[in-house]
Amino acid sequence: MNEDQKQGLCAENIYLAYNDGSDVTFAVRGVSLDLSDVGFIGILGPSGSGKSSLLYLLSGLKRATSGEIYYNGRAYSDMKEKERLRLRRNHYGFVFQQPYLFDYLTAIENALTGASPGDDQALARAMEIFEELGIARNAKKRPRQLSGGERQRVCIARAMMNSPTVIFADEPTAALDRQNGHKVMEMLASYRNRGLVIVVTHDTAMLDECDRIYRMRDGTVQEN
Amino acid sequence: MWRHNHQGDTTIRNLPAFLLYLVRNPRKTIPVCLVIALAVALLASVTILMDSIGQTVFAMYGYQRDLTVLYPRNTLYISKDTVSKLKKLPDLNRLYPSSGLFISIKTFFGRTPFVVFALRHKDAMEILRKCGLKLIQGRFPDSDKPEIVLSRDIAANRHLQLGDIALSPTSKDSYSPQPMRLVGVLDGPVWLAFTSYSYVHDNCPIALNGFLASAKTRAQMPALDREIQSVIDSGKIRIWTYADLVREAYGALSNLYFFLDIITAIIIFDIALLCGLLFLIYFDQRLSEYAALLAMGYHQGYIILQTIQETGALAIVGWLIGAIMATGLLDYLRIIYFEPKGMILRAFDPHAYWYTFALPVFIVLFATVTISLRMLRIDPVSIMERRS
Repeated sequence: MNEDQKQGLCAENIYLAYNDGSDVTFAVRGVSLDLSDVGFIGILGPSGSGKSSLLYLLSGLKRATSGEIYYNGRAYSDMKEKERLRLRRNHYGFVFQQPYLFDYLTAIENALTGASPGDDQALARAMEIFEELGIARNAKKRPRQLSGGERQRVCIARAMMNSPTVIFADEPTAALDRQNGHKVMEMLASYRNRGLVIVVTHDTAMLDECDRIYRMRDGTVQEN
Repeated sequence: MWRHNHQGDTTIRNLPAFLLYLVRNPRKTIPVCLVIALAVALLASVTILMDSIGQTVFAMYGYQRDLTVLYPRNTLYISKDTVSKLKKLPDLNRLYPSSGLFISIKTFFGRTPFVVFALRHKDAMEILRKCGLKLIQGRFPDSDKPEIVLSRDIAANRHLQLGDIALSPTSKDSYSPQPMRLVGVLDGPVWLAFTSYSYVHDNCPIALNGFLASAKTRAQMPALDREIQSVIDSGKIRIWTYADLVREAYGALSNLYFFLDIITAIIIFDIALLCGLLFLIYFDQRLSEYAALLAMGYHQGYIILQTIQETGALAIVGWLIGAIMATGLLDYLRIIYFEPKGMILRAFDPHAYWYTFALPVFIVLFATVTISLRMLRIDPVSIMERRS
């Protein structure tokens, strides 16, 4: 494939293998994906199917055993560690299954941890995002004072702080009830016109709004 | 990391991130701070008390900076021949004839005799000026009378007031043929006790008759001491110089300082280990935070720097609290115990606090090494995959 053609996020025949003594286990087997710049992508699969591993490979948090991942035509394997850090810091946003919020920071301060260094407008933008996500009244609260759904919304705000080109969400609704889960998915879906949102989940009901769904089983992917 | 301060909604504005963690986690930071503070207070107090011994010795015998003391051995007088040789020494300014009695004072090492110089009035005035002493209470001794003038610290040490008897015929260790009253109190950087030369000369037939020798300047004293030693017969004359005093004092204290160094090293090692492990435990408790930050693209070095700054800030605050605690406690001790006994205690002794500064340094070093090693092994994905 000509690298100039690879805009957005692409994976080419990627494998992720774990060595367990003499055994080799493949978490991801020969996955190729061509993801556009914008949209709402779901990756669905049962536990152990390799969907989270795929997400971590796509986000650059893990290195593929073989195959290649490109971001705007540039291969991850050609990037230095600092470049990959910069990519994650400035172009990607993350929503994890657990909120991983700092308990000594307020909600708004937690969101600000997602901003780029030296961004003078970060506070104003954080407040706008809080308004948009309906948690502005919780801005001064600490994470322990928030419900599970509110905490996950703070995480979404943190992920959106840099207006990322890609948001990676790993089971963002797993710790929430159905109603809150749907709200969180709606909020992530609302970002589909501004960037690419990739959500990993095992819950089919949460993927109503997805533009595209990939099903994973035993490390392989099938587009739905 | 958390550079964006939330204007108007937090009470702590413009506070660096590492301080934010410390200030908002008092249940974790206060115990560590107290451990460091108590260790610093302990080390500083022991060092200051040790330094007080040397300071007291140098105040007691500090007059030897300006005066070399010569007394005869096996005879009551220094020979005329020796005196004439002494008078020809190039660095000699004056020879003050002097006899001596003794007053007993309480020191760290028990009761010690302190020499009471019998001086002529004119010589006494010159010596006081040389030693930076002045009369702050009472008057100078009258000739031929059993009267004594003491430095304030000696009077305090013996609990003597003006008019009290300082030396007496029946005293075991503060003897005078007649009861000798305190008539004047001196103040200044060194201790001195003196009485009337003619009284001692007339009433103490077996008192030793020596000299106090002075150079023109304090800087010339070492040269004068060498010159004196070159002309006297040490079998017949005993001399006391400031150089001997320093050598003997440091020689005596060196063993104590050696023990102190061992104790200090053990305490610093223990506390640094304890605090370093505590910081490592706190670090482990925050692993998921760090994993999230690493996943979000924060550099490991930046996170290590933040944690080192947290450790450093806590160690310095602990050190400051410890220093303040030690100063307060020792100043209280100085007022209620040391000053009334005429002993010197400098509650704020920079040497002691420099001594304790190794503690925060080692705590930060230990924490830096252990936390850095831990941080370099963190795999954010493996931590998040545990979904703690």
